Amino acid sequence: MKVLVLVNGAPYGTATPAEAFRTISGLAGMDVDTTCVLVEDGVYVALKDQNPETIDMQNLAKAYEMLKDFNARVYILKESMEERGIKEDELIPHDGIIDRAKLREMILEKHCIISFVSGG
Amino acid sequence: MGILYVISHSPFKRRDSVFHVRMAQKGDAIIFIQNGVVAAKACPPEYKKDCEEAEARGVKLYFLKEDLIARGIKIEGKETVDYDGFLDLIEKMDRVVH
Repeated sequence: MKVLVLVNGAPYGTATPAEAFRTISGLAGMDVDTTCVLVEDGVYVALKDQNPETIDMQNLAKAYEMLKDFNARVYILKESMEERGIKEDELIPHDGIIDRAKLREMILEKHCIISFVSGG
Repeated sequence: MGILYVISHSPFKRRDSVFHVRMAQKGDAIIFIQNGVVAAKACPPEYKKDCEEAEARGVKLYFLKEDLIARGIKIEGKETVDYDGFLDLIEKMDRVVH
């Protein structure tokens, strides 16, 4: 079973990216082949200089960086980064920056696609 | 190989489903369900442009009939499917992304 988790939502405003993290770590921790792609506002999750202590929150970038310890892979959607003016050197370590064409291939090769989308 | 993208929120309330519209390629389809069906009548300009570009790439757009009727949204020139048609689409496509 290969699972793809799409994270479409910025950190801290809603619980969405944190809930996605729990799902990804849970699946990967049970040896499920798990890949995560940060899309749209989800790319903000990967900004490395987060300091959420100022708002009494846990650091989500550090949490996502830790996913590699569970053998989960984290990719970031190129078009969403570009649209938001985010450069590669602003990101946490990750498994790659991919474009929409590559993401489409990934969707087709996985067995299950789970979307986490922030409301509001 | 085709992907069915499911959009269930109004594009006026939530822009995030633009991800689906921009991802979809020729051979893929998008179905608007629940409050997503309001997109059949009107969309914010940028969202509308993304939908038109998707259609120009060969992406099929569908609107769920029961949700249109429930909301009193009357449309012409758009493809509608009922629940059975929705199930047929899910069966026909290789993957579903909500």
